[in-house]
Amino acid sequence: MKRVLIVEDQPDIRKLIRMTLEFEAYEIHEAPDGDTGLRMASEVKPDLMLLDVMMPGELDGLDVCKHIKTDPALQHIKVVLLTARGQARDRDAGQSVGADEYLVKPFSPLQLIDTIELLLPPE
Amino acid sequence: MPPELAASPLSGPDVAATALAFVALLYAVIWRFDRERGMLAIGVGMAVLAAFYAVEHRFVPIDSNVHPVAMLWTLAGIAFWSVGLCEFTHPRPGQAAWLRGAVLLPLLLQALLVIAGLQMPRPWHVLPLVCSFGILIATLLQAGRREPGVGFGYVSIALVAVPASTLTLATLGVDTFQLRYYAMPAVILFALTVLAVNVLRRRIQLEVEVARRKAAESALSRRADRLVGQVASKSDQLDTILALCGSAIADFDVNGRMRYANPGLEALIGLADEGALGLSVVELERRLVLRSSKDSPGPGVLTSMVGAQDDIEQPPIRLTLEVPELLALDVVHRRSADGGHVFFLRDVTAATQVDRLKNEFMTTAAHELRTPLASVFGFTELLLKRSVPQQKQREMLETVHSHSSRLIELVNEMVDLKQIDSRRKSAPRREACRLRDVVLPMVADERARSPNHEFLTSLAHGDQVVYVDSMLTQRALANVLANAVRYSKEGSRVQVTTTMGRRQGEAMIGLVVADQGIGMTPEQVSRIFERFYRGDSSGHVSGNGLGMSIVKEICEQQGGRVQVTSTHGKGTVVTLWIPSPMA
Repeated sequence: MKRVLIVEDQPDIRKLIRMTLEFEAYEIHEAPDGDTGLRMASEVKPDLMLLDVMMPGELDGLDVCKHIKTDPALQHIKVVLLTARGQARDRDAGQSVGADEYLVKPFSPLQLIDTIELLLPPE
Repeated sequence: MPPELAASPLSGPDVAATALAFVALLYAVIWRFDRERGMLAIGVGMAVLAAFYAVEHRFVPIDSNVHPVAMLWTLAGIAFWSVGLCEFTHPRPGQAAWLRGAVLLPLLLQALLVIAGLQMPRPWHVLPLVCSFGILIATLLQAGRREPGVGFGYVSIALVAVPASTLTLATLGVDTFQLRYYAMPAVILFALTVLAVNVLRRRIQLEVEVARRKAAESALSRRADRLVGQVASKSDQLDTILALCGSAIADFDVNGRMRYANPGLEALIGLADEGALGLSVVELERRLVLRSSKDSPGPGVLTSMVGAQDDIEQPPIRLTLEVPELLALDVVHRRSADGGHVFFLRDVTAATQVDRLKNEFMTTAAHELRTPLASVFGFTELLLKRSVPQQKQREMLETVHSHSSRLIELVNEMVDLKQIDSRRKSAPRREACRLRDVVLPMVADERARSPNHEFLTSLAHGDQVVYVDSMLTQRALANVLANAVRYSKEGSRVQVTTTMGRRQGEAMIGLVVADQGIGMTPEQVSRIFERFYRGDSSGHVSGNGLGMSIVKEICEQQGGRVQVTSTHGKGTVVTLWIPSPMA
């Protein structure tokens, strides 16, 4: 079963994503901020991470993504950025840190599932 | 010795012809000729005639008769000769050349005869006579062509008057020989009179002209004074208007030197005392750049506007100054009709600040809206597109519902803020109310909404009358009470009391709401009035973060303040300060 790590500070959005993923067969882990997210990434070693960009604390989603993608042990993890900002330059920022996908809130849960399936093709 | 002639009796044709010639001479000289030159001619003629008679008397004894016709002829001849000479030397334009020559020829002949001492008439004098008559007729005809009436008028005078006077003289038996002694002085006198009259006329004309010119000059001078006065007052008016104008104006002449700067500009570049006249465009630019912020356009900003083409409308250039204070200026440039330049620097600081605040607010508001919407949209999609177990359905729907309420609250608070902002622009509607009439209804409302909280009210100054907008004050109190409930556990107590105090040197009444809730850290307290700032963003507590910013706006609008003190983990005290009407 594929492991997914949700890093999102808003509990209701976390709940939405979790409930969405529960319809599919994924092992779900959650973190409420960037620091915890990064720590759990090394511990749990998920296959895919869902990162909210705007989070309080030291690391926001872009920082975490950069860390993941520059760490040889974690580089393989697919990263999907979730954010309320959908302008071109925000997408470019996401691309520049190596994110694999970028979804704008409010997003369709079904679209989220499709995106994850594209990034984690079943073997 | 000139031969003596016996005085022959006067013959009619002789007299007529001579008189005619004489009158014609007078006419030609005085009326047709230039008056002054005519007078000069006659004077010269008289002088020559006088000289001739002096010479004649040397040769001819005084008592010998000289034929009057001869005398008249001589007179006429000499005069004609003078006229002819003047005409020849100073011809009038348009006069035929042959005429001038023709005038001279017989006169030359006559002059020769006179010098030779020969007296007239002699048969060979017919030639000059005929020539002179010819000239006379030609002159008359010429005159007649130009002024027909005048020419014929004089001819008729001559034809009628002269024979008549001669016959009269003959009848009276006047010794015509003696006539010359009267004729000469008479003619001289006549000429002198005409000359004097002319001179006098000229002088009078001159004086009249001088007086007229003086009057015209003084009228012009008065008009000039009046115009100068008008220009000065207009200039003062313009100066006053431009001094009141909040913008800065710089007017440069065609050489790029400042010829006018309004007080606004002088203050802007720090030259209020010395004035800015004579400054060049480059110098003004340098002073502005010195005062600009780093992201403002650098040197060359003004000169580039000067160099731009005239017919293309240049958009204003934004300058941001840091000295003397943060200013945003829009610079517009125009070329004036005389080749000069005008720069108009409009202060747009307020507008840009408002724009910036509005943008910040809109961005934050949009962001705040997305999060609840994500839940509503997401959960409803799952409910529609997947079969969800009953238990989970209920959970999802509850989330959707609570987020929808939050959205409603958010929208309401945004509308409130807008209303408060717009109310701020009009005068606040204050009325006299008793404090307890304002407070108690709101406490009752909140008690009804939150039955599990304990509400204690103790209004020591409840009967105090305050001048407030009761609707707004109640709104503020409702927000504070809602927060007290929101951030404290069920069963805890919310206390509402009043107090007196001084804030900013003014006596004020305080409405105090104290709760036993989770309290706030100093950092949270410092940010409590930020729009959209929420004490607990974990999601366990509802609210949008606009409540306290609304409370602050309302209090400050009414001349009061809001004060927050809190102990993390223990509780919070919020005091709404209202100006007390008692001095």
